[in-house]
Amino acid sequence: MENSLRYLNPEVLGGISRLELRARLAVEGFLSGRHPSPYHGVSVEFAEHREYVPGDDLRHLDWKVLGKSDRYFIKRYEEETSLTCTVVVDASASMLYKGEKRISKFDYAATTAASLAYLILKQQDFVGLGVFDQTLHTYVPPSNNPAHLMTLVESLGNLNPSEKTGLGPVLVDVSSRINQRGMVVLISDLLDEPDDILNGLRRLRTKKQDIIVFHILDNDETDFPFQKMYRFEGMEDLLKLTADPRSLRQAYLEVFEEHAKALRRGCRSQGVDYTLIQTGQNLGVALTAFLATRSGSGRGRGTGTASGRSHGRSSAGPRSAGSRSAQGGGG
Amino acid sequence: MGIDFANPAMLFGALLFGVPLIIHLLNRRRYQIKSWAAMSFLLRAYKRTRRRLRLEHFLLLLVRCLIIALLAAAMARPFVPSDSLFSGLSEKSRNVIVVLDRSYSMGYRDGPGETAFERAISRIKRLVRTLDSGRGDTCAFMVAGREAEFVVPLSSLPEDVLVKVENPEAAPLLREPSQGGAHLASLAALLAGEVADQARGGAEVFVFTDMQTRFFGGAADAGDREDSSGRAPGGSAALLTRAVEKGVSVRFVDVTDGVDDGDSIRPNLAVTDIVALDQNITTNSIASFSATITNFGDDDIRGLTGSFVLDGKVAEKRTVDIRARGRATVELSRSFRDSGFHTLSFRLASDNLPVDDERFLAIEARESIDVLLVDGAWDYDPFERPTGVVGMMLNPLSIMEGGSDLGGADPAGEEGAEEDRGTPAAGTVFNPTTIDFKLLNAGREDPGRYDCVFLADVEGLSDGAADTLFDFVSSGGRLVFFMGERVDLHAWNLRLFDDPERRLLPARLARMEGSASDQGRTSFYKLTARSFDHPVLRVFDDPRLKVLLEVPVFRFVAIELDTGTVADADGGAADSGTAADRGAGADADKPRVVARFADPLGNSFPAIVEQRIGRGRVMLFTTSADASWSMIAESPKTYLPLLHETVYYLATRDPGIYNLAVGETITRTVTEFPDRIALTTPGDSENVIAERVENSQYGRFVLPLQNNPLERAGSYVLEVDSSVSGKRLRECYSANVDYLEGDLRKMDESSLLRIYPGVTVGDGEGVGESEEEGDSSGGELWKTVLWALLGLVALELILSWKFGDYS
Repeated sequence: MENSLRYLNPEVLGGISRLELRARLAVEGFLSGRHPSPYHGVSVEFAEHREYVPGDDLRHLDWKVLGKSDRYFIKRYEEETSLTCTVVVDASASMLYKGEKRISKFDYAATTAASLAYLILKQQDFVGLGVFDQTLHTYVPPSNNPAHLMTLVESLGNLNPSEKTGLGPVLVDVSSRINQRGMVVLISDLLDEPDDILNGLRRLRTKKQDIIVFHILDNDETDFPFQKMYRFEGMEDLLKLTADPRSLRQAYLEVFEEHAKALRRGCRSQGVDYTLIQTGQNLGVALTAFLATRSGSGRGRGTGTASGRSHGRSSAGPRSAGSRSAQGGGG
Repeated sequence: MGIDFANPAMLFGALLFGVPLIIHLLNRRRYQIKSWAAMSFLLRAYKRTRRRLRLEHFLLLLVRCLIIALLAAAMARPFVPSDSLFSGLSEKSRNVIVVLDRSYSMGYRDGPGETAFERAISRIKRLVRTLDSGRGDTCAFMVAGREAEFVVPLSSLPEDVLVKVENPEAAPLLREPSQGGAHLASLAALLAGEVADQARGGAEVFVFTDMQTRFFGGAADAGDREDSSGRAPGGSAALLTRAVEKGVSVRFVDVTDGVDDGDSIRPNLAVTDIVALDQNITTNSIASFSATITNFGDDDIRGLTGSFVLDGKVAEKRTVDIRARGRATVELSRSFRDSGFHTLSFRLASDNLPVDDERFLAIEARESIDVLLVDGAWDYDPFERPTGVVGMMLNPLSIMEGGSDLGGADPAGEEGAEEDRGTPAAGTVFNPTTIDFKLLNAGREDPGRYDCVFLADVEGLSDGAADTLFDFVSSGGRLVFFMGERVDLHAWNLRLFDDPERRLLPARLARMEGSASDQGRTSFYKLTARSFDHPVLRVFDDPRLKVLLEVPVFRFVAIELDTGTVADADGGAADSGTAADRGAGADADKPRVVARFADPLGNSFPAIVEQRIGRGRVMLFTTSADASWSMIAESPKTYLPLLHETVYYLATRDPGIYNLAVGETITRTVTEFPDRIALTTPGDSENVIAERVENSQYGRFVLPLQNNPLERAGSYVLEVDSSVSGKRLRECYSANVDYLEGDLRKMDESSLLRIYPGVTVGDGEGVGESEEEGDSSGGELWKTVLWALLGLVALELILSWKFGDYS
């Protein structure tokens, strides 16, 4: 228990407690909340005008517009609801790597997951946890009970990463367990084939999930700063390579950049929020910056392509309806 | 055609080229293990760079190996001959060796112009200034004198040579020509040896000379004299040819500058000889001297005036006519009032080569010829002594006076054996002193004070006496042995013959022959001689004195002559005194039989044997000095001239002792410790000798004059003070130049090129100013190699940086 609690770092939590994690996409929830709902119903927040088509409920007819312009428009309202977030943490053997005077990638990832769970529960939203290596071996269903945090933290603390990474199938598995719109936070070193990863993310996207990817890497892996002769031994396999790092550095950085670039580009194309974090960074600062950026980007500035995220108000004239907006029906 | 190396041993350093490879392999074995997550990235990077990395490693290794190999090659100093394929890469640096002929003929002044020496110096400056140390040119400077020597060593900078040439204060050898000669033989040996060995890349030797024939061997250098084939046999020619074959180009630069074009000879007059015509000069006689003047020019000289200068003052003037390349002799007769040393010279009016215009002679005028008679059987009555007759014959008055002095002397005691030294009687120059041999054995008599020592009927000598006598003879003393009945042959042989290093007897004493008793006198021997050329016998060539050959001799000591070593010039024809006085001949140190005893049966035995030992001479009479063994002593008509001629001949000083050549050193030993030694040179500057005095055995001291050669022609005065006796030894010496150097005939170019193939001859104008001069020899590749090395080091740095070997 005490071992698990180390993931609840007061500094990190203190830094992010004044922020909130908001979904950029519309999510489905049981409760009213701060997150946009796909349903346009009775709400305090006006969304847009739409031309009347036969069959529309006349209660939503904007009589003022009719009186002024003799045209029929239907008023649409945003519905805000609660968020269901699933945090998926990579617990493969490669996550155990840690550079000199730094914590391991897994510890960093677990702390990130715990901090986000704390933040989500503090918002009274739902949060669940998935932990994987080759398979999704731990799945904690979402809950908004504050005591649920300890369940999540304990799940993280009881892990002993030792297996290879199989990110693609895991994401497929995760997507199969999610039945409603929500948010998925993937925390991993993403040491897998970018195509497999992106395929998995695509499956989640098809489930209308707002995806955040935290790409956790040690500084050694991003900078490859070694000077001496090393024999590198794989952490997830038996591969070994004796080499002079100085002569390999350039090629390594190129390979790494290609990998990261493929992920970044794939994430961007799918509207996935991709963030690379080095374990050398202060997690509190990194999360704060991320959350602030995400909040600052606001609605309509998300990375996704879904039009339903456009929430900007129009001061003059009726707004054009998004093609994937649902007509408000909630009361 | 290929590349050679000056320091080939350094090439072994190239074996270190494998060091980078070993370091590389060792480094690959020295690694740390690191667990790594992103192995896929690493493997992909490795696969992507594997070929490139291998190539890079190979290139780096190759470059590093080459760096070491080139470093070793550079240290080995590669060079190529001029005809090599690689000559284009070689550094066209020049390795010049300047040689200056320093013989005194280089001091010849052409009228009011400069001397050949000064002209040579200025041309050397011009040559050296064309060299460029920045280009890698090196320069050495040699002078050719009696021996060739380096003033600036090989491989020095041209600036070092310029400093010496432009500042004669820094190099005394370059201030003026020496007063000695110069010979190519010594220079050629140095060029073929040290110079050729060190200048592996080729060297240019410029010999600045007046092309005097003598420099190239001339008449005085038998080793280089031309034979019928015109080649110098086994001498300078072979050495120079060897040097040329080793890549040394030799060029003789004629600095006479057209003054002598080979047909006309530069005129020069020289005093080539000055000698005393009398063997012994005493204060009671008139001495004659002769000087020879030689005209080395092509023109007759009429009315040439010269002066005899005696003790610094002009004594007499002479005027002579001399034919072209002829000689003239002038004489001077003079009596000396004061005994001691005098200096005489003959001086001509100064010409273009002043150094040979005066020649010097040191003369010792003696009051008497001091003779020490060592008696083997002391007796109060002088006529009973073995030496009694000898003393009387040499100076009757002294014997008579001495006899009275010895009236109370103890014949067996040492006190009674005091010397009876007197003054010579009027009309005789001999001053005999008689002592008992025990005084000599006790070391109480110094033979060095006498001109001649007689030992008569001495039983035996102590070790000390034998050594004293050996030192006495070695340093120029004269010793005469007479036999007698008391002579212990075994003891004599033991002390005076058996040690070949300190041998005084000319032959081993074998046995006593004949009988001197009244009964035995029935048979006798007679003196015979094949000729009467020996100075001792010359007087008996007169028929009136041939009675010497009739005087009977009854007993003598037979000696064993080594026939292998004795030049049996019976009668001394080949061993004349004049020949001996001229200097050491080929057989000078071998015993010579002067006269023999013959019996009626025709058997002959050596009677008088002579031998040179060191600078002195011994003479062995195998019969007695008195009348006990022969009737010679009873025949004044025979004995008196024999003794007088013997002493006179033996007392003659070797003129070579006091009259030396320029460059020689004075050799002198004294019997008393010298507290102060001073040598006054011709410039009247007194040089006090401060070196430690070596004490030779038996109380003789060798004066440390070996570091004070007589460098200038003229008269020198040696003064030695001794506090033991309070006496001052004062001797004069003269030093004269080698007169043959005054013969300024030049070696003509065609003869020179025939004798010394491979050398070149020039007049020195434009020496070293053409580029071809520098191309004549090969060049060193070291600069090219170093540039290549530098390039490789830079390439290695760039590759290492490029390949990520350095962060």
